[in-house]
Amino acid sequence: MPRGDVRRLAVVEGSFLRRVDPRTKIALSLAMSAAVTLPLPSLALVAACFAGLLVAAGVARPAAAQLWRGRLWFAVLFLLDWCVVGIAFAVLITLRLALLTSSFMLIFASTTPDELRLAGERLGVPPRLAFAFATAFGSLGLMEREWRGILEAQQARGIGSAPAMQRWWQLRRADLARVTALVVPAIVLATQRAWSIGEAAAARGFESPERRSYRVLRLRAVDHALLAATALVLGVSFLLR
Amino acid sequence: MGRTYFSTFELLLLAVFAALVVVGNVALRLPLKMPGHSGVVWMALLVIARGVVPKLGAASSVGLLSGLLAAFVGVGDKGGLDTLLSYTAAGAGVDLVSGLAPLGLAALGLAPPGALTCAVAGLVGNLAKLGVKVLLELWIGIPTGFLVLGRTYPALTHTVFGLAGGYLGALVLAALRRAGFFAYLAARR
Repeated sequence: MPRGDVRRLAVVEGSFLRRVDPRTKIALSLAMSAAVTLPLPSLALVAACFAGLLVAAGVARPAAAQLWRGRLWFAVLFLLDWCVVGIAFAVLITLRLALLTSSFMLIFASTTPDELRLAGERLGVPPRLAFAFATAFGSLGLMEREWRGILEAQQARGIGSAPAMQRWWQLRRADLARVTALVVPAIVLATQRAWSIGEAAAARGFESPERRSYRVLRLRAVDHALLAATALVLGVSFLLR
Repeated sequence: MGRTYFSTFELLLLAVFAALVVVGNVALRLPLKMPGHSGVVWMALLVIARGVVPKLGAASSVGLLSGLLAAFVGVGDKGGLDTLLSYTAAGAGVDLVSGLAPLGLAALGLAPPGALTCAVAGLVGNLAKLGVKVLLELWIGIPTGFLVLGRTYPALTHTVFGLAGGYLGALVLAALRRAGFFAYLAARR
């Protein structure tokens, strides 16, 4: 089985978005996602402002990388729309797709999982669920190492290595049984991990009703300015419709 | 502290399952270059999560958490929103079938859910993932004809791999049951 690496998107430390409250970034991303329903002139205005924000915030590179990953899809769709409907429609759909694809990059390229957890708690997500998210994120590297270890151990036993399948109809029960030998130990290890984290959290008073977060998020001037600017751009673009 | 729906252990177990889903999607892939093939391991893990924590919402929680993780890892070529929604929809699909099947089977006087239910749960989960992509594409205005043209083959492969993933989940649950895993788990709860 070919394997990749689980690597987190790098947080752009120098970005001014690092000082922005994650809730503001969530609002901005949702606003950009909602703007995809606008017609072309309004959408072009919103997209230009959004691109300016990405460049100013220093997150244009990860956003471009995200768009580059979907280049084939973009190209096929653009050509198909152009040939069948027209160039204006092709530009509109491509712009909408680009905006939808890159809108959440604001959050994921400038926010740490812990900050997102805090924002979730402030937005009413139960603290236990927010803690579960932080735990899941912290477990990624460990799970990857354990999964690779299981894979190598089973392959050393002659289990798990199989000739590459070329077509889905070659997928047989034996192949699934081979994957079972990989998944079962992973489940057992995951359970042991969850148990030890739970015990450690309980020992630190996680379930205490007196528990308080060590850091509280507050909206600052930069957040208000960004939210006002977004409202202004969206307002103007709606008037342009 | 009042009683909560999921115990802390169950919630952490679901969180670690979410990490497994992302790692499985990135690091453990079947050597198939076909749309939806990641659903084999993915749906299996969702079905297993629902089997190990037999409460409505367990698979959805894994879906939501893994969607957030996947967005942070940068999985997917259509952005964070698509990733988050498709992962969550897959979990909700598995939850829906796993929650409704026992009721439906009991009403019909049939045997309790088994491998077939798991396979159908995997199928619905994998198709829900594809369904979110189609809905987002419809939302941004891609003509329906293009979608029918472009998504028919992926729908077929998602069906096959979803069924295979659900069935794999049933095989793993059976293996865990034979190994005494659920007795071990009961002692932990």
